Amino acid sequence: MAIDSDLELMTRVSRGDTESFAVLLQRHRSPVLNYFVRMVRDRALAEDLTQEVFMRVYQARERYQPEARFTTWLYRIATNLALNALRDRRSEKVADIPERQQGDEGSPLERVPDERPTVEQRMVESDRQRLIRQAIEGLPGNQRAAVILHKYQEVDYRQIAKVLKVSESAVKSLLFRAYETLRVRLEPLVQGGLV
Amino acid sequence: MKGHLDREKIFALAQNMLSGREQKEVAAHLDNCQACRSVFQSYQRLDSVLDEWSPAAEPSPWFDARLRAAVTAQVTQRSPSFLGLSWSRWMAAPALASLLLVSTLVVLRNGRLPKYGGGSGTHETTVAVKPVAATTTQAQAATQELRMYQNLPVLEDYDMLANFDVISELPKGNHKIAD
Repeated sequence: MAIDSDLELMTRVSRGDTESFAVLLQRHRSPVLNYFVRMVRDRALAEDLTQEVFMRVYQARERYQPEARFTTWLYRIATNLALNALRDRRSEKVADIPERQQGDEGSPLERVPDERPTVEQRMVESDRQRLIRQAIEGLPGNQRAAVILHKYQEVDYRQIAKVLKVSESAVKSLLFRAYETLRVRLEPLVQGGLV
Repeated sequence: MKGHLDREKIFALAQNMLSGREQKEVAAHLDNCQACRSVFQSYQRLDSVLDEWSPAAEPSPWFDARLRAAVTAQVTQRSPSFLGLSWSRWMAAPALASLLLVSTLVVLRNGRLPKYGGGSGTHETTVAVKPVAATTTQAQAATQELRMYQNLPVLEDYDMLANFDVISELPKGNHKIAD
């Protein structure tokens, strides 16, 4: 079973087996990278954060206790990093505003955080995908993490609760609130418009 | 079940969050309530819409190489150490221990730390040479001088220091020290 296998591999890594680490990396790097791409959007940052996750796993290998699923531990590290990155980005944007005001350059619209898609995104993203992305990006950090873990990473509620360090019922509540917001924001798509 | 269901309950059914018994109850209500069924279907449609967002990112070709380099750097950084100390610290430890041992031996042998530089009158008194009488022969004067050097704390190890150039110039052989 994959879960046991992850634990076995990680136990071997904790004993210094770097080959097992390579197997874990190969198995989980793409899902973790996709998680970050959805969480922080910036592809380069997502890759840096993915690398950071695996570096932290490797650094903590000797302290690893196989108490929970390996992926729970992995996504807990990843979520902490993603939420920190979002927080840093938000504070950077706030810090940017007075600086731009000092020079009195640009219209107020230019001071609004740039949420426009990158060139790469414009090439591959349809209008529908853009709307979905923007709707999810508009969610608060914890709700966004819960939705992405549940919907795209296929992490179960119990695991999400451990990742976010909240109760299972709190996770269900987070998801409900997030879906309510998304249902309103994506109304045209849900009702069958904008094909 | 009378009236309409709580939206959260309908959402929970759509997301498979309910226990078997609850699931049956809610499903039974939806069979008879168009409004609640409509809410349920809107959650299902929302789920399908969300499925469309698939960035499907794959790591760049250099991702593995970068990570391998970072891990290797960490292994290399850690490998020469033992118990968390780097090799330079391990080298420094015996050197420090040797220095401490030598200092301790010097102190034990002297009974006190050697005193350098301009000393006080007390120290000078302990090493002072008695005045030599005018009638003392040259050999006696040399013996006195020799005794003076031997009494200086800094020249404690006479045998070793006797090989130094300055001391080796002192008269040798027939100068016995009379204690």
